[in-house]
Amino acid sequence: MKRTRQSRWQSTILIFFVISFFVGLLLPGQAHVVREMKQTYQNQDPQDLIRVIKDLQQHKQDLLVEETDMSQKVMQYLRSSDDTAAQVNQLQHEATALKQRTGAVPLAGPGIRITIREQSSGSSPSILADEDLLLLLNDLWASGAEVISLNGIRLTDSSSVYRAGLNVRVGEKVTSMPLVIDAIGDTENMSKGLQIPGGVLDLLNLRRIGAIVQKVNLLRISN
Amino acid sequence: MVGFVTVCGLVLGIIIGILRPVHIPAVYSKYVGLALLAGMDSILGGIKGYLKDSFDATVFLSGFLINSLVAALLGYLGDQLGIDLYLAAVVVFGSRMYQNIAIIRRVLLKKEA
Repeated sequence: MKRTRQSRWQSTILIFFVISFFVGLLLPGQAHVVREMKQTYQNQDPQDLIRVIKDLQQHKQDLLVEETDMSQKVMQYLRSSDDTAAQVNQLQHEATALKQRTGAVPLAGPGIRITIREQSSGSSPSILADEDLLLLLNDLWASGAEVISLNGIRLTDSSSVYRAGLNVRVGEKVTSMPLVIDAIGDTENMSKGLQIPGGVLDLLNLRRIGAIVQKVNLLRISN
Repeated sequence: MVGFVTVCGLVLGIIIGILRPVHIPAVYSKYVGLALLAGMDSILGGIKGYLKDSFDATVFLSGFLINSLVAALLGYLGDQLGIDLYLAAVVVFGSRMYQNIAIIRRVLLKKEA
């Protein structure tokens, strides 16, 4: 009688152990799949996808324009004099410029660092909008920035930048606030370009988003 | 003792699952999730039954298997019919897990007293 009770108790323990072990074994696999699925396009916010498509379409348009320009240049080279050295120099110059734009080479030099902080607490939080960020980046490019990085993520011609919830998505990478934007280029021009009255910095201040601009003698932006 | 063994089994399973993850095809992940929910509900139900001296291994095992299968099938059927039928399983098993945890807590507190 005692033996039967003991063996029943043992089998109960064994059943519990086996079933909980089985459930535990499947849990990490399931969590892994769910995490992976969240990263696929199928499960992303349609608005984010629309932005990605728009960015890609814009990029395609830009590339087509660039291709036309390049074709014209090739035609010009073919028609022009056979000054090979000058042509080689010109091509090398263009290759360097293209490498910089595509982020193929790391760069170092003087520039500016902009630190942006949101006020997410309080009754009326101030959140950096997509438009603000794009305006700021476009102003930097227009003011002579050669290379820009966003929290260490280098921007190239094909980078898309937009808010994804509380985070900021730069291409395929995701970063969070506060944002530190490094821009290498003509320090004076960029600084003045940003501080134009009614410009992007005024707009951010108006919306209570803190933006600090610092001139830095040596910035390094890796590829 | 049963609770301890269950936690040990679960932790051991999770550790082995992390070290050598079981591959679950993404298509079936929703159904596996439902089956796991049903499985966890069965485990809690089993512990509750054991603590209340009404545990039956056959009921426990069959409950675990059938509930898991039915939950997964309900999810599949819902997908085929375009209805979120899996919500029914989530609500039922979710609320039952809460109930079972509450009962287990009460029984353990009574035993302590």
